[in-house]
Amino acid sequence: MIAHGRGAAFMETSEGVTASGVFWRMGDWTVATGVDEAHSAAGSGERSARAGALRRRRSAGRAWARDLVTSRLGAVWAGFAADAPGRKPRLLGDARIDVSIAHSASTLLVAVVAEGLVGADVEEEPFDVFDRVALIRRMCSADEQVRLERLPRTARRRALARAWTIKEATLKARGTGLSKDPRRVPTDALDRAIDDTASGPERAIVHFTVSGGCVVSFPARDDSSPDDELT
Amino acid sequence: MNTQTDAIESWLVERVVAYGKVDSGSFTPDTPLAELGLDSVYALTLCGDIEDEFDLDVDPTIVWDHPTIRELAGGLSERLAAA
Repeated sequence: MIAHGRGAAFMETSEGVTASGVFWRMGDWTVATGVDEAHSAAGSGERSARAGALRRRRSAGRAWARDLVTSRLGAVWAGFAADAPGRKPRLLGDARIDVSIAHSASTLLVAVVAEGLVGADVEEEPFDVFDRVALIRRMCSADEQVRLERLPRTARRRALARAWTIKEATLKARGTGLSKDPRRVPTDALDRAIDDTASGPERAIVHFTVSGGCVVSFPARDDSSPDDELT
Repeated sequence: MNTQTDAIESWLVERVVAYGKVDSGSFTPDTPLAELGLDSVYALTLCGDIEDEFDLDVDPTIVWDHPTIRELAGGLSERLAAA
């Protein structure tokens, strides 16, 4: 664990590796870049402040990706390929290496893998967007909507946030993003209420392995990605 | 810009403010949607809202193809005219 020690308002930056070999780093990108996100979007010059914050967030994500690729995978850094709007970043150099960068509010999650395809997603609390019927209809299949109705109302936001991160990470791993319908990505995240002691952002990493498997991990939450493997 | 595109633009501004990521008056129709907090989950939410409001089935990639409110209003207006 890499602790920044700036108090409870700031998420510690943590690293780990999933059971299938995806290295990840998660934390507060505003701490990493010295940006106060809340302040950056207030007052005069709000537009340029927002644009500047987006640039710094992008830089932080790419810096973390570079660091993970070189320090954890031991690969030579060749840089990023040109951007494609709405698609995940691609690396130059070793084509076997894949990377995914996700963010929500001030939380940044970066995942890299030596082989296979990886997708990461994170959603910060309070998950209020998941109260919106229009979103539920567009992200959940008819069957998933039935299962959602069976959950206690108080458990639905987090369950939907988890389902979304799995669906989004899956589509990012495939490299399609939302050009493919998330309703067609099945998840069991709506089958039961998530432990109500769960707190913090919902996050998921999906790894399509070279052997054809699909491994879903929840960084810093499940047993497959212990921080202490790296520290 | 025609009346319909104006109305769609106003409606889009209202939706973006309703999502709670930015205050009204802090952006213009030419501000990139990405700067307004419209990430993938909100892009999909907006698609659902467009479907409800205009009975128009759109893909979230419309936000990448039309990256500002002004451009998106124009794109939706064209689709409605063609529907």
